Amino acid sequence: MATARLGASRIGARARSRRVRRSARARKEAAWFYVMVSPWLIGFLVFLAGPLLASLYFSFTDYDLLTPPRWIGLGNYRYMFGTDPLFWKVVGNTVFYTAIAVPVSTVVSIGLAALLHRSVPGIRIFRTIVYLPSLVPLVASAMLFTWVLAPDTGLLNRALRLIGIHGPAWLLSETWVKPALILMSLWSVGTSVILLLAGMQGIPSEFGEAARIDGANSWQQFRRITLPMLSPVILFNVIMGMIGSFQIFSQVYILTKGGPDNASEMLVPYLFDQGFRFNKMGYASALSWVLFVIIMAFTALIFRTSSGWVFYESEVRR
Amino acid sequence: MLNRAGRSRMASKESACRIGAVALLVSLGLTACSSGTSQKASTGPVTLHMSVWGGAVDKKVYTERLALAKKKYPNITVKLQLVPSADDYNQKIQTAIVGGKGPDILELAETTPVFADKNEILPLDDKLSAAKMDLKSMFGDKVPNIFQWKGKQYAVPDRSGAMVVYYNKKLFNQAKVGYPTANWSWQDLLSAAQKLTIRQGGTTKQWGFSTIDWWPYWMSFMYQNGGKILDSSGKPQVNSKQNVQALQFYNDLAWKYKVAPTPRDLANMKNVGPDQLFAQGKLAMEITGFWNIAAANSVKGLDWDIAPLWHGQSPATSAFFSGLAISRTSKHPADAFKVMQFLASSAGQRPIIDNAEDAPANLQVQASNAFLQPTWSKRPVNMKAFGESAGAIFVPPLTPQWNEMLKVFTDNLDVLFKNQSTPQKTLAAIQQQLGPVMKSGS
Repeated sequence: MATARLGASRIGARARSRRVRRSARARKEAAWFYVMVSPWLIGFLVFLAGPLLASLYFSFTDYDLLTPPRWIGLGNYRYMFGTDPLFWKVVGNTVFYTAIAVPVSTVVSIGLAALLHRSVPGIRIFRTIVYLPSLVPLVASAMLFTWVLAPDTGLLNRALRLIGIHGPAWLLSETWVKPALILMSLWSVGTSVILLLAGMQGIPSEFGEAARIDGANSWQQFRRITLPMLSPVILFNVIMGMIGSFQIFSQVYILTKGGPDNASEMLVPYLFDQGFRFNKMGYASALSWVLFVIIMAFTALIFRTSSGWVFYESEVRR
Repeated sequence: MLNRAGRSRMASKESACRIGAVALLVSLGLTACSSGTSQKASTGPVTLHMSVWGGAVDKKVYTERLALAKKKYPNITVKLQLVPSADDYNQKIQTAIVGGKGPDILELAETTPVFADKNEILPLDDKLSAAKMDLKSMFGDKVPNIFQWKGKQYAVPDRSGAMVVYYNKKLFNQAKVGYPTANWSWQDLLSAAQKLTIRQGGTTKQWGFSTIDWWPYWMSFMYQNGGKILDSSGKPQVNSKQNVQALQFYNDLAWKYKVAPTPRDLANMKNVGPDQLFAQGKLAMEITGFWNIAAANSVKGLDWDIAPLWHGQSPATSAFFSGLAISRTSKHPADAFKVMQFLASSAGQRPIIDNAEDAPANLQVQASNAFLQPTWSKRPVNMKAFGESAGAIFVPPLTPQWNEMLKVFTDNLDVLFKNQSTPQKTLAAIQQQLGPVMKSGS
């Protein structure tokens, strides 16, 4: 204890004297920091903060885009939670989609990354193939999926028929339209695979060697070394994936228009329709703020639990 | 965006206005930017702005028409602002109006009541009577009503073509079926479609007709059967015997008589629309508009023609239409009206037919030889079908809640068209859901 405190105070004294010496330079550096960051700051204030606050204001108004907004207090929120016949269905759809799509694509991307990490001849070609779908524009892949998911002539159901399964009508079925969208989300796991692959290649090979000498088999190495070392990347993927899933738009807009009977209607396409097709910009703003709160809550939740499962090497070294 | 040339006198006022517009966005208050709206036509040079949507052909046609207008009124210059996508159009125009940069003249279609209800466009009745423009004699009894809201005229019809039947002559000849006419009843439609549908070993090779969830299709059948969507006071009147019958017949075409593809069949054919199926020679009859002439013409070996729609209890067909309106914020409404008056005239509408852009709204132009025997068509087409259908056009129940109303219909009809509900249940659900939707506007 005593030595530790002594050590700490000694370091403190050294830092203080250094701070005095460096203060002029530090101030100059700070000034440069603000100069350099100012384009972004100004951009944020003008193009983001303004509209952001405006939309918060609009969410308390009746605003049709054509006449001045009229203050209605919590009217939009009361309608949303109490009267709107579709709101809870849409929230349910979006949460269902996110709750399944994010874990599934996390597992799939880790699996793919593990496979692509091996040194087999031609591995670069496989890596390219896995990443390629991420380069296809969403509109194009959405069109592609209307073909893949066609009830009788589609690729997927024809493949299922080969193993004796009579596939559902996917996009036409209220039960299967969300699983179909989840399936489609797997199409573009390439980006997270690349990040995980980079993470895997950054794991020092000595760890594996040491474990092998201690008698660990390859599953144990993966479970005890690779996964913990990758967990910061996984955390990043999960959070980005979660935010992206809550904001799903194009697939719904192109493939299903929210149908059949709103079974695939999600929050962002729903608020887009409210704002730009039904001229209810006040209500659309309220919906977008509720979406913001939902995303913030889930992000906070994931961060809270992350200390239990995310491993930072730097924390051990300290 | 705005061209300031020729407006130097107003430059300072304009920039003050622009600052006002920014202030409006920031403070969210309302700033009225009236810098002397002139109710009289100008004698000096004026620049107006006109907003339309469309592609390359539309741009060419509007440019030609505005050049003709300039010849007639040399002091008025109209700058064209074209939005490529009709979907983005309303969003862009509304944003422009909020930002104080709205156009003087704007093209409008189904959203006319939205703009009219919020007083964003001017009622034209006084100007029309002062100019002695009789819209009914120019455009027919029905089409001008499409652009009315609460008894006032808010736009002058510009382009308007009835939906007609396109039929594949070769398939009709092979099946030995007489070509469709306006005298056909629903029974005639059904028996022709039955003869024109060819099945081979469980799969259908050729369809007689196509039923889809697009409103001009099913709504035509409702109106033909004497049904309605809204009553005269604007309340939903969907759940009627006439509408139940119409939907029953419509849905039976696919499910009972199997002469039209079901949604599942369409999905299996990679979600093609009737226009593509017709072009592929797999569909004997379809309902569509003027625009499909060019597409059908481009298919080699497709032998086709058009006819007015069959009738049920009474003839009814939907129309594709757009009109021109004057923005409330226009500083030169009188000049804008002069331009619009010219664009509605025979001379002003002529480029629409010369470029095969659309059917012109002016009936005189629709009856002209240039329209009936178009030089651009490689084959004779029964262009008279458009004029003959004009009297059958029904005025759709346009209100500010139009898009929301259609969503309620589509949500419920999609279940019916999968044969998972009955017309009675579907219409009862629509009637019930439309109540709060239609109320939300008033």
